[in-house]
Amino acid sequence: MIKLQEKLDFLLDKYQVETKAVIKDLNTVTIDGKDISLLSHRYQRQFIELKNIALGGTLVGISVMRVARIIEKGEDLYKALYRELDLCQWILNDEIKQITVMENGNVLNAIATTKSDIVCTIEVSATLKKGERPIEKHEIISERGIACDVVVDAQLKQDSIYVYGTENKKYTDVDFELYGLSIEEIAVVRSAFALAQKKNYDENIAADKQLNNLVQAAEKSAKNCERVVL
Amino acid sequence: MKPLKIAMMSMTHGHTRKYYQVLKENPKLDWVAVSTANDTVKEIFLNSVEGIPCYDSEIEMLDAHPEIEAVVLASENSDHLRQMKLCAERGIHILSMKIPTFDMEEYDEMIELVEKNNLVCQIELEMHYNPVILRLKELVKNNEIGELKSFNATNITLSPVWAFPWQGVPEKSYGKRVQIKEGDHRFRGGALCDHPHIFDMIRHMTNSDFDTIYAEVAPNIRPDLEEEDMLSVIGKMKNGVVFSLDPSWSKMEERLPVPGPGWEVFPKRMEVNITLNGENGSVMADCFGPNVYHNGCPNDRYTVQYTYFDEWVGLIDEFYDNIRNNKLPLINLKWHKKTIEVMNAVYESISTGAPVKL
Repeated sequence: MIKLQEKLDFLLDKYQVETKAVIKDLNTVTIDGKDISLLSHRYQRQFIELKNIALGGTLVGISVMRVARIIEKGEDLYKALYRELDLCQWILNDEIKQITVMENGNVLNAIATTKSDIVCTIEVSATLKKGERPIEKHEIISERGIACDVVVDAQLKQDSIYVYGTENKKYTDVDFELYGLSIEEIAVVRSAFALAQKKNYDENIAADKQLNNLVQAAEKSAKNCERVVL
Repeated sequence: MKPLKIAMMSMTHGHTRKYYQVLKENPKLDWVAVSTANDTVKEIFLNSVEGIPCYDSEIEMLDAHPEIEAVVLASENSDHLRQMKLCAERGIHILSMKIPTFDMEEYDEMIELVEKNNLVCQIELEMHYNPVILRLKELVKNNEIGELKSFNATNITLSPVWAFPWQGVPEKSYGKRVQIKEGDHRFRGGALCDHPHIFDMIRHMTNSDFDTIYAEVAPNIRPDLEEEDMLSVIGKMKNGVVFSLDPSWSKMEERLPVPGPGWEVFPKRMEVNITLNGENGSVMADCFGPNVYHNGCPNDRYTVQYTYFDEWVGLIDEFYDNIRNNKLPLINLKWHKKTIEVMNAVYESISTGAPVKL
């Protein structure tokens, strides 16, 4: 966390933002003594571009958004679901009106429908060894075109650099100012910085409240395999 | 053993052309004749295959070739029962397309026909003869990722209705015209009816049957179709394994009358990807990859050129073995009945908006 705070302080100083912001954990920033949910995934470039494609006129007549995410064994499935539900709503600029969840220990599958009748399927599983990076795919299918954060005919995302030496390594660097941080860490710092700079806390607070309600509905659905209408 | 005298009927099914090579090249077979359902498919057949007698009538073909031992029913779903009766009364073995019928009374009549006449009736679910599936089955059997917890799969393609028009007609694809849900202009008979494979495969890989199923139909990406083209399915097997299945026509196509180069708009025509999540890990499989890629003729469009479509080789070998050695097919009518029942349950869930307990 110290490393991330140093990077945040660097940005606050460089851009002369006087707000006092402290990264509490990977999901929360404390600003002026108030804890605010970061929703840091919204600052990952792949999702910003998917949103631009979905809402900017590139895709026409969106029908389905398909999401799959595999995380470390032991991690909270519903925290992962919170993130994916937020991504669906935020990228589509739409609100989920009903959700059905089937759960089995370290896995869950969900179908959620938005107010515009877009169907979102979300597959979450917690199976990876400690230290493995999450595996994920986000795909939006429309009358005119498909947008996806995984390349066509591939199952995994590419990295920017592959090293085959005495030890095989790979690197993906996506932020010059925050060089050295992972994609997820960069998103945490960028989201905290944006909140400190723009002071638009209410949007995140409202989104967090709505998402917690959605997750509660998902947990309720999983208990009896019934659809929950919000 | 002597070669099997085999024929094909109708030639209207999208898989018709998959048989051309294997029926000609497999030394265990003697391809005797075909009958075509209309002039369009007759012309396509005559332009594709030489040296096989082609008849306009099924009865004319069967009367002219009493030596026929087996028939591939390469026909629309609504014709299957009638053609099975034709075969049964002559003691001819049957290779049925993937959907014998969605009408469960008709289905039981088919089972009775086959049993009464001591016929082999094999259902064409060709994924069982795919080498990636073979490997997946082996990984599951070897408990590679521990106890299986979820089975998530796509069986997504472009829509074949422009080349195989019957698939766009609810009465021919689903067997009758049933509104998909109240207030919706669409009818049953679309993408779901084209994609039974993953509903079958999960039963094999989990060694269990369906317990609960929930489905949603999404807005069509082809608004001019009167059937569904986008749907999502989740549920639970009786042993607790949860699943997520996508049987959509989610890959857009050029509306060609005959499949060929340039058919795909999205770079891929089809995809069957399966992710198995277990207690101790995950297995991710692309059943039709890796491939090669080009952006050449006819549309200069970046395109996936598939490198493996040989499932029909193993499928026909099994069919031959079943007939000559009087074996029950892996995918027989009785086994497949539960798969068809769960596909009907998908439609029921879409219609009622509620999960269906099986």
